Amino acid sequence: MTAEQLSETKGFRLSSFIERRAVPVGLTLMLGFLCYSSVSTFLALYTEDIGLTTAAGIFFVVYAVVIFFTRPLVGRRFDAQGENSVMYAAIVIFALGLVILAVATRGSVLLLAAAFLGLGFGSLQACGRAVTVKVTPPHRMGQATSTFYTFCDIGLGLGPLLCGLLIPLTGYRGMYGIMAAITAASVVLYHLWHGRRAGRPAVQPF
Amino acid sequence: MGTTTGVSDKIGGASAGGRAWRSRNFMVIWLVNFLFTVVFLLLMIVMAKVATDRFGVSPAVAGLSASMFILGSFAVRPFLAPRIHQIGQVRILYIGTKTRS
Repeated sequence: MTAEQLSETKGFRLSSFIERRAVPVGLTLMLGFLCYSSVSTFLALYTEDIGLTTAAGIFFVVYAVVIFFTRPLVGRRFDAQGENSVMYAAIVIFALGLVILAVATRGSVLLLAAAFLGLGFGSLQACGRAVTVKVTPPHRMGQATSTFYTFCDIGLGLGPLLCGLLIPLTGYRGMYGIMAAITAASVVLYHLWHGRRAGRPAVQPF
Repeated sequence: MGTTTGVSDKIGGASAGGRAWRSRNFMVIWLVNFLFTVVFLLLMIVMAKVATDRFGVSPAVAGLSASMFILGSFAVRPFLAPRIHQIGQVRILYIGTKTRS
């Protein structure tokens, strides 16, 4: 490490905790996690409410299986064609999954939503992490990882609380509809914060 | 990630050559991460329902009970991040595991 790099890791400034290069992607993923947490926390209560507990039992299995099979392909596409080739589509598919979840009245539709969420949010999660690594030099990787996961946890932590406050007002379906709208809006935010500057696959800094 | 910047250089991971995933250390880290994720997701998924079924709380409180973990996360993580290499990654992993179980 150079002296300058070393001084960046010492001291008790904001830069000791936050890596600014990880903030835009972190904020995007914060919104993603906020919306995903509505699924992970309230799915059990929601499916009980609409009488689809049988399908709910394998909801997360479908979700995980879809992630397992699509992630290698998504990762390869990410490396070959840059993050934008994956991120926009992932956010849109994620929003569609939430819409399908909000209108589901049959078990098969609920599982279709699980597949969409796996493809959308699963890719979003993995690619967000990969973008963080891509935009950060090695000596700031600790802070960048911390920043990224802190934003993810803010979303994952605030999500259930916000959804819980929404449910008495809008019902479960309305709440999932609002989450879908937030996800859709985060496409625009991702574009402004990171997407429009990302362009072609960048040369690795290390 | 190209060059290893994370754990493997600290605890003597496998060399390059595309077989890093076969090394014992990688398998152990994989397993630790896997089990942590299982526990975390199970808690996250079950917490709100348990809070509602057993204690009859409102959805907002049920959501809050699922999201309380961020308090601990915020209390610890910002102070740990700049000191990861100072304290040692493996030692932090041990401390975290002991606190959790």
